[in-house]
Amino acid sequence: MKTENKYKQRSFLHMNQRGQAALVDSLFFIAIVATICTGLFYFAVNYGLGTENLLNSFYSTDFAMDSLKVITYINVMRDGSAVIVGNPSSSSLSTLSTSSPAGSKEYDYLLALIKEDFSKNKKLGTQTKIAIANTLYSVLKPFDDSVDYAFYISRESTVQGSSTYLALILSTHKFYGYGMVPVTINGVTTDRNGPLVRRVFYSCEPTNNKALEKNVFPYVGQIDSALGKITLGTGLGNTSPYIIGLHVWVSKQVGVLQDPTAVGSELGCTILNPLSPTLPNISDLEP
Amino acid sequence: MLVAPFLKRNSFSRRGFIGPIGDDLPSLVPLVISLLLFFSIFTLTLNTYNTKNFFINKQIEMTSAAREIKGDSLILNMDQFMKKCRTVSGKNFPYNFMVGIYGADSDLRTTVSDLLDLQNNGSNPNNQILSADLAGSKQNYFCVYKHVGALPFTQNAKTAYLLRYYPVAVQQAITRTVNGAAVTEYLIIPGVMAMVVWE
Repeated sequence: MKTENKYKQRSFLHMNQRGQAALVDSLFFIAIVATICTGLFYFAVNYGLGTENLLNSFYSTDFAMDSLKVITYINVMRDGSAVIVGNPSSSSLSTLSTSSPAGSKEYDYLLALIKEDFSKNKKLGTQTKIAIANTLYSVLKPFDDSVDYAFYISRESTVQGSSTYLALILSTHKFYGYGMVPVTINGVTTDRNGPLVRRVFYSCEPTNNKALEKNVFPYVGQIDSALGKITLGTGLGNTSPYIIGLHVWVSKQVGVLQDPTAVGSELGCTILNPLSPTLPNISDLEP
Repeated sequence: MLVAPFLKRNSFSRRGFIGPIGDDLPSLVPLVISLLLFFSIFTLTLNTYNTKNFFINKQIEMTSAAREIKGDSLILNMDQFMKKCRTVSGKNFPYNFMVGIYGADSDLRTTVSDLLDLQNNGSNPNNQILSADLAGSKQNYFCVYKHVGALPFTQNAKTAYLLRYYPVAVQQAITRTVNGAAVTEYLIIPGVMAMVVWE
């Protein structure tokens, strides 16, 4: 009798334990599955992000490099006043094509203008800087709303300290406040209250050769850069290597770029826009 | 009398034993839930993996095709442009594509509809795409490649297309009047190459 009870007790416990064991097993199973699922979900969310970023950076680099190449290829008016854009039937090109006598509207490569101007007194004059600004504006005009940029020509130098810039053209969007601005919606243009923003071109004469790295780059986020090498004649058949660079970044309102003309700024910029009729007009917005 | 436990079911049921299914039901619920969860997440992951892979491949193919077409970012003439387009499409490019070159003064908000117009009607109503005079007739800097049997680019395809812009320089021939005589000169102007790739 005692033995029978013992059996009963044992068997009963055994069955109970088996039920609990199955439940615990299934809970273990769900825990394992949950872990695997978390891993899978994490993989699904993150898969390809690195590759996509890499492809986007390829595109950005291509974009900056293409822009720099185009700047060096295209023709500008010899007086630096404009860059020809559009189809042969468009106004600027047709004006040029019918111009007579020859020489009244001559054009040349931007690089040729730069080299010619540099050969005179080893500096670039305002007219050449305006030609550069016009070229930058024309090449990047389709993306005008979204990007800011800096273009420079600098001497190749390993010496730290003093400025090696031959020219530094900085272009940003300047915010002037709020007012009535024309807004086009579905082809209809109306005046609405909005931010007054204009593209401003600055010609800068930095006091040291790290002015961009110190005053601009840390604040504007990701920068897409393209660098090239040119040679400029220094007289008597001698040439010196110079670097041309273009840095493009997504436009953003940054304190240091809001007024690069401020006294004491290492950038030492002056506004180029009012000197050129083809660059965006800022005079109507200035306080 | 000594009886083996498996022969004493009745006595066990009296102590709460329902049966193999009844007893195991509580453990079956998490089991089924975990299987459902696993297969749902697995399907989701597989779909995401395939979609992203497809998208990445499309981007890679687009980047390489665009690099080949724009070359050194200088388009010298229509022949060169069309030849490069044919080279890319001749390599059994796995997607359909359209390429158009815009003037730098263009409004790029209408790119897709412009290219659609050119594909469907051969016309360029906004006159934003650059053209070249070929034997007296204007030809737009536009090329399109479609697989055999591929559907044309439509509104439906818009959900799965890629659009990218590349700055290019385009050489244009102009005729100037010099001392009363017409002279053809070549001018290099800025442009933007727009490329649309779709399945």
